[in-house]
Amino acid sequence: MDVATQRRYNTYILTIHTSMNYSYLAGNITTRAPIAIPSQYLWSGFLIVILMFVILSAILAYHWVTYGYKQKRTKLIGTIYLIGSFTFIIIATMALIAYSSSL
Amino acid sequence: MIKLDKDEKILLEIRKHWFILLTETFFLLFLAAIPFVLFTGVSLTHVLRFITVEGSGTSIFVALSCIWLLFVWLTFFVIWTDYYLDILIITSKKVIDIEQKGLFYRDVSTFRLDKIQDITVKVSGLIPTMLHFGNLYIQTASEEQSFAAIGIPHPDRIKWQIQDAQNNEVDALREMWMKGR
Repeated sequence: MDVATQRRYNTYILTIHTSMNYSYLAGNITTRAPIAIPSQYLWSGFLIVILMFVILSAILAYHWVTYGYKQKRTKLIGTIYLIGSFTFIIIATMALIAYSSSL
Repeated sequence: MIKLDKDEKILLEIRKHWFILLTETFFLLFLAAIPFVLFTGVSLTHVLRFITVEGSGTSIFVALSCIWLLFVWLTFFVIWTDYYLDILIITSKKVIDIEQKGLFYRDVSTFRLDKIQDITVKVSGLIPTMLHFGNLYIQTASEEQSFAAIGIPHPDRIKWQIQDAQNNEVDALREMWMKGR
């Protein structure tokens, strides 16, 4: 292929590429609207979770107090349970506050 | 709560072997690992790059993970409560078998030591043999009553301790009867 033919070929290829629409490739990634989760829904779900947690904790505490005849051990376990649970609840609350303020 | 007579002492409190608790709670480790595995997987493979969330997506992920972990934590304590309240108590006068199944089923059976007719120990399998735990079956004079303590540590030792306590109780009863005559 001589130089002139090569140049013509390059111009032809360039013309094809520039005329093609590649927007479908990037368009799907960048132009799709972000999913918006209303924070009220998240807070309502969180409230239900907390309610379920309180009910289950009350049931557990009832069993420990009524049937666990060694109070020292049940107190220790109760403390560990509450510390762990409150850690998760506090982190979840902070994360939800962070999400709500980021909207 | 357990009520004892004035001169009655608790000789043994037998719960299931720790290995039983471990096997019952082992799946929780996998459940607890799910958020971390998901987070690492998504970060490494970018499978969710097509999904964008308005606001801080990481915050939602952290909140959902914490709620998930809270329920895993709670499930562990439900299983632990079941384990802790399921107990066989041997006193100087009687055997108290407390069976806790879940949170809403509880069965308490009591029988006197002198009513015990036969105690059978069964250890089967490699792990129970290595870790010294097994089953203990107590047959009483009453035909319907037989008790099974499943997965208790050192069942042989417990069997001998119950038999010793039984002998002492029978001796004490015999002595009382002799005095009475």
